[in-house]
Amino acid sequence: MRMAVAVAVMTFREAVRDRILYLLLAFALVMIGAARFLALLTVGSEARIVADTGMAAIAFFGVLTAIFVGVSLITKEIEKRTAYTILARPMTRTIFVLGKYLGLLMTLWVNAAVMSAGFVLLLALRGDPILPVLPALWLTAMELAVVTALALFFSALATSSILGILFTLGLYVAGHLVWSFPLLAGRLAQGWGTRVVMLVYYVLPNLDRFNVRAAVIHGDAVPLEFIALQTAYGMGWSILLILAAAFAFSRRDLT
Amino acid sequence: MNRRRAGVAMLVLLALVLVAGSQARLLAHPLEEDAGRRLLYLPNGRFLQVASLGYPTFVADMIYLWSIQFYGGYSDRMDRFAYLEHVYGQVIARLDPRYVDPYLVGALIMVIEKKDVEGALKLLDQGMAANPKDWLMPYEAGFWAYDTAHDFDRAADYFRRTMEIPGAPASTRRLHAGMLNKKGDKATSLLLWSEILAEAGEDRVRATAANHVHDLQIDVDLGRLNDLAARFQARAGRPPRGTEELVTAGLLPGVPLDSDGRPYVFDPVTGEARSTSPFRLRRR
Repeated sequence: MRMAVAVAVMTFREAVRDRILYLLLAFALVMIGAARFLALLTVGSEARIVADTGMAAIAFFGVLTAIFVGVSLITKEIEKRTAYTILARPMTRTIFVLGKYLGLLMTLWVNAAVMSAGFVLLLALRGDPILPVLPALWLTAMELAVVTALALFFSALATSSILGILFTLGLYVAGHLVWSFPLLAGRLAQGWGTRVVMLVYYVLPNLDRFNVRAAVIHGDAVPLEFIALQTAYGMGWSILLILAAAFAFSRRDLT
Repeated sequence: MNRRRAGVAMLVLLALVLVAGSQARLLAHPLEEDAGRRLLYLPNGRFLQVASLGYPTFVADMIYLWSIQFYGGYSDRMDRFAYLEHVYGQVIARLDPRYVDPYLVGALIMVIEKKDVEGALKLLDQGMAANPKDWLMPYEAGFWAYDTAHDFDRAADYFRRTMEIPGAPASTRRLHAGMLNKKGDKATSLLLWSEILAEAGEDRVRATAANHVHDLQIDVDLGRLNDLAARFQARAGRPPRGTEELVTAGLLPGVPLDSDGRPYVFDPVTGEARSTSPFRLRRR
C-alpha cells in the first residue's frame, strides 16, 4: 500500500504540473463567476441560474479534466518509457494502477474543491443557501471517481491517448443516456432485441443517477439514504473499473 | 527584412479589410435580420433532453436567458413570435418541466406581444399539470382569463384551483367570488363573500366583503322575486303589485327586506322587482 501511496503522490505532483488542468480550472472559475452576470439577464430565477450554472460548471469541467488527464496517465508513462523504470521496482502492476488512480482522484478532488469553494463563496456573497447544494457537489465528486476509473481503464487498454479519450467520452455519453434504454426496449418487439437493450441497461454504469442538480435547484430534499446508496454505487463501479484496468494492464506487453 | 515586414503588414491590413468589410455587409444582409429563421434551428426539447447529457436544467437556463434577450429586444416583426409556444412549451418545458418562470414569462409575452391569450392559457395549463403544487400559474391564468379574455367562467375556475393550493394568497378567494359574480352565479358568490366577511381580519377586507354581500344579497333576492312574480303572473294573469301579494298567494313566507331593511317593490310598467336601497358598488 505504501508503494501505491508513493505512486499516487507522484501522479498528483505530475498532474498539477499539467497546464491543461489549470486551463480547465480557469474556465470553470470564469464560468462560475459569470453565473453572477448571467443572473442579471434573466426575469426571475436568479438564484436558480447561479446555482445551476455553478454546479454544471464544476461537473462539466471536472469530467473533462478526468478524461483528458486520466486517459494519458498510463499511455504517457508507456510512451515516455517511465513505466519501465517504475515497474522495475518491486511493485505489481495492480499497485501501479491503483496508485495512478488515487493520484488522479486526489488531483481531481482538489480541483473540484477549489471550484466548489469559488461557487460557495459566490452563493455566500449573494446570500443564497449553501447547505442544499452540498449533496449535488458530493455526488459530482463521486461521479468524477467513476469517470476517473473509466479513463484509467481505457488508458490501460488503449494503445493511444486519442483512442482512450474517444472510448471514455463514448462511455460517459452512454452512461448519461442509460435512462433512455428502457424506453427504447419498450418500443421494440419482445425478443432478443429487448433483452440485449436491457442487458446493456444493467451492465453500463448509470452516470445520470449522480446528477441531483435538478432536485437541488427545485428545492427538493435529497435523502441521506439516496446519497449513501449512490456513494456505494460509485465506489462499487470505481473498484470494478480499477480491477479491470489492473487486469488489462497486467496483460499488456510492455517489451 | 524590411520587405518582409511590409509584406506582413500588408497581409494584416488585407485581413482587417476583409473582416471589417464583410462584417459591415453581413450586418445589413436580410438573412441577418430574419429573426424567425434563427428559431428554425432550435431543436425540440425531447431531443435536447437527450443531447444535454445530464445537463438539461442548465440547457433550459441558457435557452430561457436567450429567449429573454430575444423577445425582450425591440423589433416590429410579428413573425418573431411565431415560435413562442415551441420555445417555452416544447423546448424549455420539456427540458425542465418544473421550471416555473418560463411558463409565466412565456404567457406574458404571448398575451402582451403576440395578443394570443389562448396560447398563454394553454402554456400555463401545461405548467400547472407539471407543477400542481404551485399556485402562481393558475393565479396568473385566472388573471389573464379575466382581464384579457373576459372569460369569467374560466377565470373563476382558475382562481378556484389557486385557492385550493396551500400557500395561495387569501385574496384569491375574493377573486374567485368576484368571478362567480361576474359570470352570473350570484348565489355562490354571495355564499363565498359571506364566508370572507365572517372570517375577515382586516378592516379593509371586511368593508369590501360587506359591500359585496350587501349588493349580492339584493341581486339574489331580486332574481328570486322575479321568478316568483312570473309564477304569480301565470296564476293571476297579471304581475304582482307588491311583495305582500306574493305572501298572500303563498309563494313567500313573509315580506322580504333588502340589505338595508327596506322592502322590495315591483316596477308598475315592466313588472320587474327592484330595490329601494342604492347599490354600494359600481355596477358594470
